[in-house]
Amino acid sequence: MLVAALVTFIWLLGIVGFGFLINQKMFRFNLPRSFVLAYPTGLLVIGISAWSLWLANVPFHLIYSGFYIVVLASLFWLSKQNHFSIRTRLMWFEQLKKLVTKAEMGYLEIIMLLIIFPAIGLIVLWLLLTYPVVWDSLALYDFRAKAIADGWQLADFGQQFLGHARFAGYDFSHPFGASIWQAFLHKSGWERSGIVYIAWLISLVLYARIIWSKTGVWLIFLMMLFATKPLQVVWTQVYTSLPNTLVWLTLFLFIIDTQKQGLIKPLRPASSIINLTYKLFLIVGIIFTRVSEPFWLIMFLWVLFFDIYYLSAYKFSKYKLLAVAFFSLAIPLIWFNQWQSIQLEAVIINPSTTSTTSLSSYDWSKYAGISTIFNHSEWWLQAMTVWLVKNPASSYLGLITLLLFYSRRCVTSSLVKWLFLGLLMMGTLYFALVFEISREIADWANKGRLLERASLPIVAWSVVMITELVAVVPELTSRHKKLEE
Amino acid sequence: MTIKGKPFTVILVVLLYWLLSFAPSWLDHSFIKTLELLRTIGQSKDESLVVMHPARKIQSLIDMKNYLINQNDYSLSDIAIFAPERSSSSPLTTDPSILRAISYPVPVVRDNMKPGPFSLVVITQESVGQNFKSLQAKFCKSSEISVMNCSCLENISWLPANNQEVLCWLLP
Repeated sequence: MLVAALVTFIWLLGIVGFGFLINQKMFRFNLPRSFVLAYPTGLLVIGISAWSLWLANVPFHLIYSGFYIVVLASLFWLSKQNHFSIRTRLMWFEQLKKLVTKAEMGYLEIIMLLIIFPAIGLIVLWLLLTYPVVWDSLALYDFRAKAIADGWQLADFGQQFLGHARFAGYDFSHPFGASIWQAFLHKSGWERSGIVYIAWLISLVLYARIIWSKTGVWLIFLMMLFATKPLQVVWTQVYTSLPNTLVWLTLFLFIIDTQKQGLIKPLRPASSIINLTYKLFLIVGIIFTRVSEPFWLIMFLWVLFFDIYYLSAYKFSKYKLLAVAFFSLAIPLIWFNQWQSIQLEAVIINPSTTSTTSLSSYDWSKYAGISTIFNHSEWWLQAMTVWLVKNPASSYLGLITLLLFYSRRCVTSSLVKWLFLGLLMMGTLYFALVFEISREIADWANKGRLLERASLPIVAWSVVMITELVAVVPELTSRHKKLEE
Repeated sequence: MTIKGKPFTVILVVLLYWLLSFAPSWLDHSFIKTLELLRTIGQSKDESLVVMHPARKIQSLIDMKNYLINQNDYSLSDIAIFAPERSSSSPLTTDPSILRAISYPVPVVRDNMKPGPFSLVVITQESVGQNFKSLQAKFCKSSEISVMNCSCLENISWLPANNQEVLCWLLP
């Protein structure tokens, strides 16, 4: 037990070191950002690389040993650098102390802290001390992790329930991302595999502190992140929704962060390209963890058009940039192709298999019946009722509307305009169309449970947007008043 | 951050909204999660499973796994637990997915996944439906099966290969 804990701790620490190295050398982030984004970057790079190797039939014990050596080497290399000399460590500690204690605390901030501390404590303790025993985390994600750690390859999963039409697609219903990460912990002898996500949550807490220096604004972010039920459910279930929401949040925070930096001083073209690459990297991370909802496509197009439009001002070749973006997309597409072909081979190309997987939203034939919904007025009524009542995102969106109303003017940033509408429409259309329309028209109530998970990217976006609005609305209203005067 | 300034008002508005829209459901869920956490701290995974899924069948599946792991007559690779049909799109207590997650590393299979005969086939009522009439866990030797003398089975035609022994495991 103690040995397993030690091996796991070194592994998790090594991921931070490895990610820090990549952030410094590849993405050229400054020191604080390199540090707070170290764990997400390290985990994603290791996860995606390990997944690729595993798909190429490399035995998992070799993958595990190889990456363990890599993270140990990263730690060793970092320990030789100035970042971790005793003097620098003291400086880091001072900076961290300043980050936490510099706040001017009013009554509201103290009240919020009293809510947030137990909320964070409960989630961290939950991930630290409990086993993933909720249905799908037990039967699918953690089972796959254990099996991968024991040497199963992709084909082994396909063969297990051969000919079992209703079950054959279960193991393939979501990408193996979360399971690959958890497999590393099982291989280290640590069964409470939810622990792998704790450091990512802490990374988001620290990253938000860098973005929003006002304590009250930062605490609002933490409230939305830890003291609301929809996200608390996500953090304690250890489903694929957990890593997926973490990547979404990181991406939205990164977008806000780069926008804010751009406002202070124009970004240099080189750093803009690196930022574009990091955004695309995070989008691949989204696909890697959960792909059932095609929201990532909106994000991909959004990043593509806006970043390339922005970069075109620097006289970059648009074609070169497009090539970079599509190359980034090609990698996950190649994976999917291989993944699907092995899956279909394993279940003897049973047509019902694709409908049992969560990839059904990519079956374009399902969208052919779109005209049906125009003939059913009650469908729209039910759809909107479910959206407003059952959808966990609706409370967050309500708060955004309230803040926009409060600011007395529409905040017309591109993020608000396009993502809001895009995600909302995509979400509704997804649920309207991926299931057989005729069968599901009267079944909107049952869609509430699925809607919860499908809405999580909207929830993640809302949390970031609410915080950003809290930060900018006072400035907007005061500017508005000055103009009126 | 000043108390009288605009940021204070905006934060107050958000806090009030949180109090009305998020706080009740969050507090309710936190209470449930805290209770579950307190009940599962320090327990083994199997004990946590029983706490989180209090159906008696889960305990019985854990007993079955422990029985199979601790027996000395067969190696685990020679055992096949037969998976039941999936009756719902959501995992149930006796769903193949739950069965294999709990019984791991004892293999769970369906139909003819593994080549060749198994030394021991484990079945439950859910695996074989109406073909099961045992009132208790029971071994059937291969010789008994061949002459239809195995009291826990009514029909053995579904068995994938001959010359195996059968363990009928009764779930509560």
